[in-house]
Amino acid sequence: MTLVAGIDSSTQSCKVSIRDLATGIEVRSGKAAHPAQTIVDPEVWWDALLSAVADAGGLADVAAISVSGQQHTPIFMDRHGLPVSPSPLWNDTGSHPHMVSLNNELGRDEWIRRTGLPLTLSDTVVKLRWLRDTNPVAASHTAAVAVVHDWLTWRLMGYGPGSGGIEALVTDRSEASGTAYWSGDTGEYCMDLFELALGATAYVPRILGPLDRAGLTGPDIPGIPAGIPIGVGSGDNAAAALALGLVEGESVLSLGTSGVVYARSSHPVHDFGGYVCSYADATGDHLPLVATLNAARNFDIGARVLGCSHEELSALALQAPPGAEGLTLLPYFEGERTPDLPHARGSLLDASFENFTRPNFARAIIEGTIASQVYMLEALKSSNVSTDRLILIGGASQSAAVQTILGELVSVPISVPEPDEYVAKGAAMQAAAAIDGGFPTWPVAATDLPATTLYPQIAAQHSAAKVALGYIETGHKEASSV
Amino acid sequence: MSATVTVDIGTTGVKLCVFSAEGVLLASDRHRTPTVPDAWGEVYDLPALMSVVESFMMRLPADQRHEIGRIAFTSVGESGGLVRKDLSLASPMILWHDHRGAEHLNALDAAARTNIYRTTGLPANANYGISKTAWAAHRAGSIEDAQWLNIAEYLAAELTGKRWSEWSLASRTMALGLEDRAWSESVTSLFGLPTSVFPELRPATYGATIATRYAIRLGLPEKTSVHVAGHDHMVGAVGAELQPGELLNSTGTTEGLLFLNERPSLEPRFEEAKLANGIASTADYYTLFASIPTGGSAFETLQAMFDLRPDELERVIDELHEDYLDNRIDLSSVPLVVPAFRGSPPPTKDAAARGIVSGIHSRTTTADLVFGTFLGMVLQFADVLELFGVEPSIIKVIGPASRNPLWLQLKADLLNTELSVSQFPEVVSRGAHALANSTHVSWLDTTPRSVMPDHSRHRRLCDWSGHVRKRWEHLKATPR
Repeated sequence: MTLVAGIDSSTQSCKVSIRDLATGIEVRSGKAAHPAQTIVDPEVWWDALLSAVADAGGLADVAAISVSGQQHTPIFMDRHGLPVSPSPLWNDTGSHPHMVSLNNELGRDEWIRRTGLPLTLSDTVVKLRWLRDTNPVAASHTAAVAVVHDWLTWRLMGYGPGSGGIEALVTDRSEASGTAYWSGDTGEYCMDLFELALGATAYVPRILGPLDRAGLTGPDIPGIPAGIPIGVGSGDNAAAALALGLVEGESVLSLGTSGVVYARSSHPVHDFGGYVCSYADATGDHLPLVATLNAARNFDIGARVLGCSHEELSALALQAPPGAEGLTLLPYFEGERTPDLPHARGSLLDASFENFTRPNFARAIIEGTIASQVYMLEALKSSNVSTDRLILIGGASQSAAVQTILGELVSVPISVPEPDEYVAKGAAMQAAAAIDGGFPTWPVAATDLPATTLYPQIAAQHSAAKVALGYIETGHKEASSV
Repeated sequence: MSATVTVDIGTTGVKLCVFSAEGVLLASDRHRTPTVPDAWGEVYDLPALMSVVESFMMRLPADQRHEIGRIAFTSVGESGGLVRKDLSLASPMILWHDHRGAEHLNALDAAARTNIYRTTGLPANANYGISKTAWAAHRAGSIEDAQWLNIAEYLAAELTGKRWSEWSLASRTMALGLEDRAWSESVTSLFGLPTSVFPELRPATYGATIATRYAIRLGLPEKTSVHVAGHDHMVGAVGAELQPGELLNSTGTTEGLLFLNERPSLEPRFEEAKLANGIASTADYYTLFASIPTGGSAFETLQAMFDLRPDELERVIDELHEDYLDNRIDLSSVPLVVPAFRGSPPPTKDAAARGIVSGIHSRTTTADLVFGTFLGMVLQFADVLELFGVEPSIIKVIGPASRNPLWLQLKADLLNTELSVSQFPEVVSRGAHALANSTHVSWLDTTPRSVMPDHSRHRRLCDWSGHVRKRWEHLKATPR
C-alpha cells in the first residue's frame, strides 16, 4: 500500500491525515492544537506540525506529503529566513484601521478591480500595512513574505529561521489569490500593491501550477523521511473543493466556526457589491467565495443560553414550525462581514409571550444562521455564479435541524458528504499528484437530502428584521431564489 | 366590619382570600385563570371560573363560612361581555387584551378620538370595553336587553341576579363621561350603541344581597352582600392607602402606574401620551393610569425559556442582585432588551409591538439575558413615568415585584427614588375587603420596607442609559 500525507494547518490546529493512495481512505491521523492568540510566533505552527506528525505515528512509510493551510496569514522574514515579527492571523482584528487606510488610499472599487477582492482586514496586504505602521523596523528588515502553507512547505524542504534560501519559497494560485496583491485576470502578482502596503518590495513565493511539485523533504526533520516529494499545497477552501470534486454549478456551504460559501468558476469575478472574494482554486480555475463571521458557533451560544446540548438544540428546533412563529434572530454575535456590519451584535426580534419558547428560540438561532448562509448564495448569484446543487459540509452539517431548515430555504438539491477532513484530504490528493503527476479519483460518500417544502417566509422574516434594524433599506431584494 | 371573601381575577391567575372582620388574612388560594379558545381568540371559561370561586368557598370550614358577610370581586379592567337580563350570555366573555373589536375603531377620525379622550379620558384603543361591546352587538344582531358587564361584574351578577357596573370598571369601558359620571351618548353613538347597553352605576361600597340559592349552596349567610370592588390596580390603590402625589406601582402580570388626582387630566399632552383617566374605586378621586403590558409575566417567560424552576430563577436573580450591588456587572456587555412581549406601553400602546433583544454576543449568558430583561423593564418604566410629568412624593410598590430584589433595586437606582414596598402579598384583596366594608386601611399595616437608591449606581445606570438611549429609541420604534 502506498501512503500519502495531507496536512491541514488551520486556525485552531494542525491535522495530519495519512491515506491510501489507491483509495483515499484514511489509515491514520494525528493532531496538535494551535494557540488561541491571534498574533503568534510562527514557530508554533511548525511545532504543531511536528507534534501532529508524531501523534500520527510519524511519516516513515509515507511516499509524499503536501500542506494546506489557513489563508492570508503572513510570515515576515528577513533575508536569512528569520521571522522579523510575530505573525498576525487572518482573524486578528487589530489591522482594521490599516484596512481602512488602504481602502481610502486606493479606493475600495480599485482593489476589487485589480484583485477581485473587496479588501477585508483578513487579507495579507492589510497585514503588510499593519507591520509597516506598528513595527517599522521589522518592516524595513522584511525580505520575504509567505503565508502559512508556503512557509511550512519551505520548512519541510529543509529551510528554516536563519537558513537563508528565501528564493526557494513557493506557493500556489489559491494562496496568492488571498493576498490581495495578485490578479485573477493576469495570474500575476501586483507588486505595486505590495509596495503600497509595506512601503518597500520584498520576495514573494513563486507560484506553482496545480500539478507541480514544490520540492523534496529536507534532512533531519523528526518523524518525516528525507527526500520524499512535497505537493504544491493550497489554501484550506481550495483543498476542500479539490477533495469534494467540485464542478461548475455546484456550491459548497461550509458551516464551521465561520460560514463559507464557495463555487468553482472558470473565470474570476469582480463583485463591486463587496461580498464575493475572487479566489483561485487548486485546479487552475477560480473559487469565488463569500464568508460570514458567525456560523456554527451560533449554535454554541444557543445551546449555552438554553442549557442544552447541540443534539437537544437541533431536536428543539424541529419541534417549532418554520418561521418560529415570527421569532427572528439576526446572528451577528461577533459583528459580521456579510453583510458588512463589523460593530453589530446579535438581535432577537418579534418576541412575544406566545412565541418566546425554547423550541422557537432554538429554531430562530438555526434559521438565522442558515438564512445568513443562503444570503451568501444570493451574493454569488449576483456575480453570475449560479448554484444548481449545494454541498453541505462542516462541523454543523450533520445536524438534522440544519439539514431540514436549509432544505426549507433553498430549492436546489442538497448533498451532505460523510464527515471527513476534506482540507487534509485535498492536501493528500496534491501529495498524490506530486508522485503521479495527476490528481487521484477518490470517491466521496454523500447523502442526497430529500426535497422538502420551501418556506420563503423564513428569508422574508430575516430581510424584514434587517430592514427594521436599519441594516438594509426597505425594498432591498434579497429573498432567496436559489 | 364583616368577614369577607375576595376574588381577584387577573390575566393569568385568580386570587382568592378570606379576611376576618378585623381585616386579618385567614386563608388564600390561587388558580390559573381558566380560558378556552373560540373562533376569534381566547375567552373566559365561565363554568370553570365559577367552579374555582365556589369550590374555594365550599372548602372553607362551615363556621368560617357562617361568618362571611361580604364577597368582593375585582378584576382586570377591560374584559367582559354582553349579558342578558336573565344572565344568559349574548356574547363570550372576552379577555382584556383581545382586540376583536378593533375594526369598530377604524372609522374614528382624529377629531372623534380627541372627543372621546375629552369625554372619557381614554385614548381610543381596542382594549377598552366599548369596541368589544360593538363587536358583540354586531355579532348578535339585536342587543335586546343585553348589557356589557366586566368579568367581575358578571360574577357578582351571577351570585345576586342583578347587573350593575362599578365606577372604576365603568371608567375602563371608554363609554363613561368622566365629568358628569354618566354613560356618554355622544361616545356610544359613535359605535352605534345606545347608552342602555351599559348597566346601572354603583360605587364599590354599594353591593347587592346574594341570591338565596347561592347562599344555601355555598353555606353562606343569607344577607351576605356581594360587591364589585373594581379595577384591580384601582383597588390596589385603596389597599395601599394611595394619596394624591403618590405613585402606585402595581405589579401583576402587567405593571401599572397610577396617580390619584382631584380633576381628570384631559389636556392634549395627556392624550398624546395615551395616559388613561378613570374614576377611583372610592369615587372621590380621578385616576391617571398607564399600563405596561409586560410585567410579572416576564418571570414565567424567562422560566420557560431557560428551563428553570421558580426557585432556580429566584436564585439567578438573587445572585445577579448581589453581583449588581457589588458592582460586578459590566453593563456594557448586557443585552439591551425592549420587553414589549405583549405590545408596547404608552405613548404608543401598540398591541402589535413585540420584544427585541439586541446586543447578544458570543459570551452572552443566561444570567445576562435575565439581567437585561429586568433592566429593560426598568428603563421602560422610567419612560412611562416621565409621561406623567410628575415627580412622585413616594412610590408604593405592590404585587410580585415586591419579592424581586433586583427589579426593585434597579428601579430605585435608575429613578434615584426611594421605593416603599409592601410586604403584604395581597394588597388588591386587602383593598377589596376595605371597599366592601366601607372602611379605610393604612399603608403601614402592609409593613412596607424601603429600597433606597445608591448615588454611584444611579450614575452608572444613567451613564448606561445615556449610552444606549439612541439604540433604545430606535428599537422601540422598530416597525413590525
